[in-house]
Amino acid sequence: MSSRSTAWILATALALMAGSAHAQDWEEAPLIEELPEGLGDAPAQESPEDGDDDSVLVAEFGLDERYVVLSAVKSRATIQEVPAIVTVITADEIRVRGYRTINDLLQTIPGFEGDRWEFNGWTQEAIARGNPRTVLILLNGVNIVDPSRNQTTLDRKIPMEAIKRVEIVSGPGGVLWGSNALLGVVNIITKDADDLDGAEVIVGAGGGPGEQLAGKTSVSYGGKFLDGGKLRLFSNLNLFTSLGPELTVDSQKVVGILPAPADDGTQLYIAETGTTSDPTREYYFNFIGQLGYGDLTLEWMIPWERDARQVAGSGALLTEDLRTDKSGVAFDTEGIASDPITVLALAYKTRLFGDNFGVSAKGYFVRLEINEDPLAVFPPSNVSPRTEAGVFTRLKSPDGLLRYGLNLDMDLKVTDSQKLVFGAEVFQDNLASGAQTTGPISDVAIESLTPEQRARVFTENGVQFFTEDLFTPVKRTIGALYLVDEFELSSAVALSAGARLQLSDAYDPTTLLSGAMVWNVAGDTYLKLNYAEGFRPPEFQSTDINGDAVNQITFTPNDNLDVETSRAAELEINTVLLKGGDYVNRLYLRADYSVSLLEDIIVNERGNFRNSGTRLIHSVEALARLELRGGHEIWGTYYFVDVDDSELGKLRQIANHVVNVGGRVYVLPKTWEFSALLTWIGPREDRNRFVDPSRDKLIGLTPVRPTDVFIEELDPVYLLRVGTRVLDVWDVATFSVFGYNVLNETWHDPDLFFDDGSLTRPYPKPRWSVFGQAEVRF
Amino acid sequence: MNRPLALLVAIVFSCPACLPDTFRGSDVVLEVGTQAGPDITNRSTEHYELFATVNQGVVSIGKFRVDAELVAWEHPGTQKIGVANRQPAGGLPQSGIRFTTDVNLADAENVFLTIEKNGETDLSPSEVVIGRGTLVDGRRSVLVADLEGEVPVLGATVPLVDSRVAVILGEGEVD
Repeated sequence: MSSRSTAWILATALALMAGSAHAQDWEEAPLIEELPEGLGDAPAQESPEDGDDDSVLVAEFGLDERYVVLSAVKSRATIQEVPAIVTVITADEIRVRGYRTINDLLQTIPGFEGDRWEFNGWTQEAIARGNPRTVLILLNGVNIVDPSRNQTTLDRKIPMEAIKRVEIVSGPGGVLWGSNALLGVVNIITKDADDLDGAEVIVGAGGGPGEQLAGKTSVSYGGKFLDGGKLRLFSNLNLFTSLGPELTVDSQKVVGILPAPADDGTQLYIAETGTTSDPTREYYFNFIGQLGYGDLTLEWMIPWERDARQVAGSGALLTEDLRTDKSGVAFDTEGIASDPITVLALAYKTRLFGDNFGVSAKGYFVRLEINEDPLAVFPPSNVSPRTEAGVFTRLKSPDGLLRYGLNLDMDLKVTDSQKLVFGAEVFQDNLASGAQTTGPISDVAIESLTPEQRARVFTENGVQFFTEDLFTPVKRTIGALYLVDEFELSSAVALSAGARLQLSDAYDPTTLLSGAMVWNVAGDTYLKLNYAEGFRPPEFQSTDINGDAVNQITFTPNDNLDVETSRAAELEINTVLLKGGDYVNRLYLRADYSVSLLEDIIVNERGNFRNSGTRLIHSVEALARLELRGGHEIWGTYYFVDVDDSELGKLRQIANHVVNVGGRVYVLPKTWEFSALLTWIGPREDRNRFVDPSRDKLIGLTPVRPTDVFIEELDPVYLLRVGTRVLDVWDVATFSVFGYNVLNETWHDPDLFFDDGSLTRPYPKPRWSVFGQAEVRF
Repeated sequence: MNRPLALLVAIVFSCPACLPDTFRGSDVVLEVGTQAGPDITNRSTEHYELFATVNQGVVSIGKFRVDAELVAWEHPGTQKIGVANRQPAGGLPQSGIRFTTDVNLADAENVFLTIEKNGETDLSPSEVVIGRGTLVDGRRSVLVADLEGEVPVLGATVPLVDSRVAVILGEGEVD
């Protein structure tokens, strides 16, 4: 263990001891084992005989869903006392706030900047505490992060209608969840038979430049059968389609020298704005469900998608005349890609020995599709330097990226004041067929190929193409053991300590530690002090890419990379005030301050991957929710982050401040509601190149040189959504209409990595849109 | 205000305000070339060095050598750091040599490019200055200078063309 690790642990331990010692004087309020009085209008907990044992791992619960959590400790606890910074979003909140995607939801969670676009929307992801690709995304506890890039695109691929709740942990979660839980964990929990008794049909439509001519159909069925409900079924068929957003770019990079790792140089632009037109319709289909009998549950998510791309990563429009090459038919340049995630899982859970021992086992299969057709850099144009078909390739993996695994989680009640949570996992990531890239190739370039490579040259519509491996076949096997000891030191203080050993055939053994103290300071006020660690394995792109590929931007692989690690010390205080007043049900407040440290961050420097220095992160995350009598509600979040990289200095492409303010008001009690949500994203910076339209043209286009670099400030953005719902019409129907970005902000995202080479202009984001839908339950 | 609320407020409002800005240096992009590109290629016993004058002092920004393909390499070292201006047949000009320096160049006034002897221990610039330019405010957070000068070749000189320096300042948070 490094001396720095020891120092962090000692510091946390000292703080824990200090808190514990002081806690001995605080006996006035017991540590809650049940929900605090007044938290939720839900019925009392059901007994184990009712089938909803409150301590069953990954169990369901009948309490106020917003105040309980599974992901933080792999067994149920209230968010107030769980030793982690947790936010829970329920299915009801998803409907009330009009969330369209998981990204949309994460945009309102303190600690996250949701829906950040990269490559003009080709990937849409959420960044945690200012750092991209540091979030572990789970579907019912199964890791669905793509290991080839440690990234998960959270677009429409997971329908919100099928989600029961989303549990979000801010900060590292490596001890419990292993790989990729570097700065956050998002567990998407899908609905089950408890959520629907009968059928539900949803039909919706919408439009506007932010989401053109959209439509949605969702059909769900749920029920319990046989032997008093031993057989349980929930299934959802979901289709979303739209013409995507209308996007306007301020200039289009038509062609240019491909920057690092290739040489940099002059780039040619159309120095005028351009707007996507004649868009391609995209479709997201999904079949999600659970079928359970007794202690066994089969879970599935079977998607199909056609994700259209209207703008090349370079900023050139893919839907204008540029796509028509000289021969007219050589290449379909409408970007059609798909990266659906298929998940099949079989879960078993039970409790033994008088409810003192719980077991949860889950075997799973995940298929991540890799299909970029084309992976466009520059569209065909009259000035394309390589061929008439432009400069772009196709990237496909014939069999996709497969993950097989088994999770085993157990909990053991040792004494009334001590519980052990422990388990193991083993899984394999398998890119068995590799990934092939196909691109146009010139006669000159063909001459430089080996005989084996020339055998993979073919002609399509008069253009010569070459197929080669971009990723060689790769397998990575991971195994892990973990143990967390939860101990109630007194009636007001609980401690926990955890450790995990992670083993792999691809990287060195990794140990992770955690420790926490939760102190019931008084009444419904809790103070948490956490120490947590996480790690992220090197992405396949850094270890197994073909560095000799000729028709694709490629890098030099490095199979000696260390895993990236994180550690965080977090202080949270939460409280419930104003309980049970004449006008107020409760006021829930939470604020935390954390210091996180990333080490061995992997960077790509001129095409070479290496472990670099450290990133010190300060963050403040706060949430307030005022629940009024009659169901009215006002809530808000504040998120501050500051990231200091030991090599780069302050990260400038992130928002240092994000604020959300929302609320719901009933015009007619429990019948007609209005809601609103205002998101303010602070200023960000983007390292770009300036396109000067007055400059002398080169073959009719505006040249931009590497020294035209500048730091572009992206203004703060105000995103307002408003919605209204009419509930329980004829006791079966609900109608809703939401308007998104109703202030019609024209706004942009900076690229994730402060790059002015290939990514030279900010990415335009969607403007206003409207969507209405009708829900009918039978 | 009760104690929990006071602590909540303290957490939210005190931490963001007390973080210092940390300077981590500047990035520099150099475009350098001549009409006859090979003239900037490496001499076997010499390398190039880019300097800046800051507050009447001279600081080194970076050293490099250029091979026959006009690829620029850090000196000494084996890291490719860019390419001197060249124009492949039928292609676009390739250019851009990149340095990262720990020096705060916010107050830099001039930049100049010299030819230095390999292995020298003298840190000061040589008298063989092949390009010089005055830094002026460019677009946001950037200083730029057009380099003018001549490269000695076989007893004659060849003027620099399309040579320019951009200094990207390492500032802190957004304004």
